[in-house]
Amino acid sequence: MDYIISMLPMLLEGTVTSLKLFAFALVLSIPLGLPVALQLRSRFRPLRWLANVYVYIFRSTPLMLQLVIIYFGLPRIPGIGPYLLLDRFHAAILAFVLNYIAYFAEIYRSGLLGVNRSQFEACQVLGLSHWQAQTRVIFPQMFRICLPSVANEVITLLKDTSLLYAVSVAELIHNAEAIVNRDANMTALMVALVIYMILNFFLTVILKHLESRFSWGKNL
Amino acid sequence: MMIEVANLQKAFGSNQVLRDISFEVAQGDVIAILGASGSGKSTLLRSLIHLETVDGGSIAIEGQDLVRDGVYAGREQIRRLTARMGMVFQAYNLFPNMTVKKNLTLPFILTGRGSRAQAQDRCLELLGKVGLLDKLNDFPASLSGGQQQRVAIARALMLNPDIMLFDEPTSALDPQITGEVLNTMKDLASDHMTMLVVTHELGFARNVANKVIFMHQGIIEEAGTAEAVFTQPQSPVTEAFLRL
Repeated sequence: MDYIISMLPMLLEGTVTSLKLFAFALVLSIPLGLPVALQLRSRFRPLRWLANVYVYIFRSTPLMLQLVIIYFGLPRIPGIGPYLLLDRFHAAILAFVLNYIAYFAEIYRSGLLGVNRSQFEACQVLGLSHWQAQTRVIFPQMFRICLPSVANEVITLLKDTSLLYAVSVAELIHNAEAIVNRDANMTALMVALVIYMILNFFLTVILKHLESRFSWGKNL
Repeated sequence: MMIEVANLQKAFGSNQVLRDISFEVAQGDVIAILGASGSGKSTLLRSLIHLETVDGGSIAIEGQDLVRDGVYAGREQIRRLTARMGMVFQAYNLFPNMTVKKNLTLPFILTGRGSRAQAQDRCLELLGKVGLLDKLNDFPASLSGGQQQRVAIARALMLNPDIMLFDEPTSALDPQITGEVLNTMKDLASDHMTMLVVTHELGFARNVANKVIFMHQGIIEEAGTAEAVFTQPQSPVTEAFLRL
């Protein structure tokens, strides 16, 4: 027990770094997925094509590789490379945000497909502008439809922060590994596992609460 | 004339849905539009409020053109003319993410009809009228179909329309509860609201409507006073339909 307590400061420090990345990535990618989702459905073909290419690239390659390329690869581009040198943490935020935008965009697109077309007609006959219809009627319903899928991604995102390991940022797994190597003892990784479970327990509770908050009188 | 429709044409691909539709609606008319499925009656109604774009013909609201010989008026004129009409859909189309109160007040406020307080007053008045004051803070999902449709009628009335369009308002309802919606519409008719009602409710058409339009394969097969069409149909198609 004393052994576990002795490693906690280092693990918690790593946890804070993981949570920081989690929070930044979430706060940026959740809203930014929406404009990309709208481009995926754009009537203007080049925009739609561009959005599809973007989603394709970021969904079909491993996040870890994207992370490595943004951190190690971008600075090597001749000419503009030196301006693209980011510190590890910021490179990680960029990679995570770009990657998760692609996933959220697809989830939102599925949500938009799920909103009944007749809702647009109701807005139209009531004289709402396109923008008013989108923001007051369509997006809230889309978000409600997407919520379970979004929740899934949010929980995955928390675990994906362990990929920072690849660029040697001192997050939870990185620090746990350091302790394992130092003491030749696996306990630190087990403690890290418990920390992930505790964090995701709270996340799950919050996400479930959000779902019932947006149930709008329907039985879930 | 409240509404003048002349030579309206509309096709979906090769399917000519409206062939040559002309009729007039006077202030206070309650017109039942009858006909089999696919006869074009819903498309006709939806064209009046610009949910469908016609291929040819004219629609004028109190002498102002919505579309003249297939050429539509400017955006602003279209907006102004369609704002004089309210529409009630078969599937109610309430906003499920808002309470009953918000369903009524939000369009009123967003379209600049008045203040929040005015919206609230009008909302209470209209919900009282359709007998659903106690549902003010409920979400649509917790209401019955009949209640949802009465809320939808109240929502359309919020914007103070001169004309109400009903697209099969009771077709999604259980037969036992169509009555509550039809009664609400009857009240509206006795308040001299101008109404066009696409319906399969022959009883309503006969007892509440003053005129009947019977559509068949994209044309008006027969039109006249409800009394005349029901008691002495001129066309054998109409007669066959009404005897069903």
